[in-house]
Amino acid sequence: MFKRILIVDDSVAARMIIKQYLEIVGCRESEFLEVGDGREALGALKEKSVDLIVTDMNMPNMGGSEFISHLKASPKFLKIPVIIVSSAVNEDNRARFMNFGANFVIGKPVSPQLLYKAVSSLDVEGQEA
Amino acid sequence: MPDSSMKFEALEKAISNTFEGIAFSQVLDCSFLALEPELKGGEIGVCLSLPDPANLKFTLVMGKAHAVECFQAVAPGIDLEKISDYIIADFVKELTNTVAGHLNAILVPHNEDMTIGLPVLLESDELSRELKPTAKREVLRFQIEEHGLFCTLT
Repeated sequence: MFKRILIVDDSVAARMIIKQYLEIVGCRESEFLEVGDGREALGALKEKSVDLIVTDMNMPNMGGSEFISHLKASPKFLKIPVIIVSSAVNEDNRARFMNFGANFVIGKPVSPQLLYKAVSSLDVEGQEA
Repeated sequence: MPDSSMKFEALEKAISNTFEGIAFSQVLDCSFLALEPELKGGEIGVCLSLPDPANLKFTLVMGKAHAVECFQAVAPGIDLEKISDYIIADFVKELTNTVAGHLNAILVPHNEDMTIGLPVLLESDELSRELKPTAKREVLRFQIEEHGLFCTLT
């Protein structure tokens, strides 16, 4: 499974919930890093490597779209799988988020079932299983 | 821009979807208020804006006990001692954001980009003012299981 997972969300409550659900779906042994926006996430990635990123889109300072565009522009971070968890999901936004380079898009409220579906569709190399 | 009846229908559906989705809670009743409601104290209120094409300001006000109950339903494994007032207020911001997402998904055509403003926690002395019906602001009360919850659309 994933050795280290980065959760990016400005809501502490959302991060707690996502972390708990990831543990439920099989990431109990993973180390979790939690940050509040895209800028902090880029800082965290400079310090430690991660195998999976779960990110919100609507955040202050640096939102998910800008954060992911930075990721995808960097050969070092390009292959890290990204799961987007957002309340702003309709058909058009889902397609747009996938075009950013997300591997999976989940509409809020997140559930263990949806996270399981997302996580099990990925392998640790960041390629879709 | 969606008309008023569409907005209220959408709000009812968004509240139902959110609370059924997170806590299997049912909306039992929904009514418009002519006067500002009397609050019990300790309510948590959050507002956010939905820019065009929805073009709305949305406020949600709920009791702390209800918020704690919902949080425990969503995250039953989290130690109660870790659930501070800050976490609960933050969770209500998340709930508001989720309702707004459902609202936008209903109101905004599928081929248009939907954006949601950042949720802002209201100060307790702002709640009464926010829940006062005006010509531009409709106030609705939802009965969700045994809890009352207020929403406004401006």
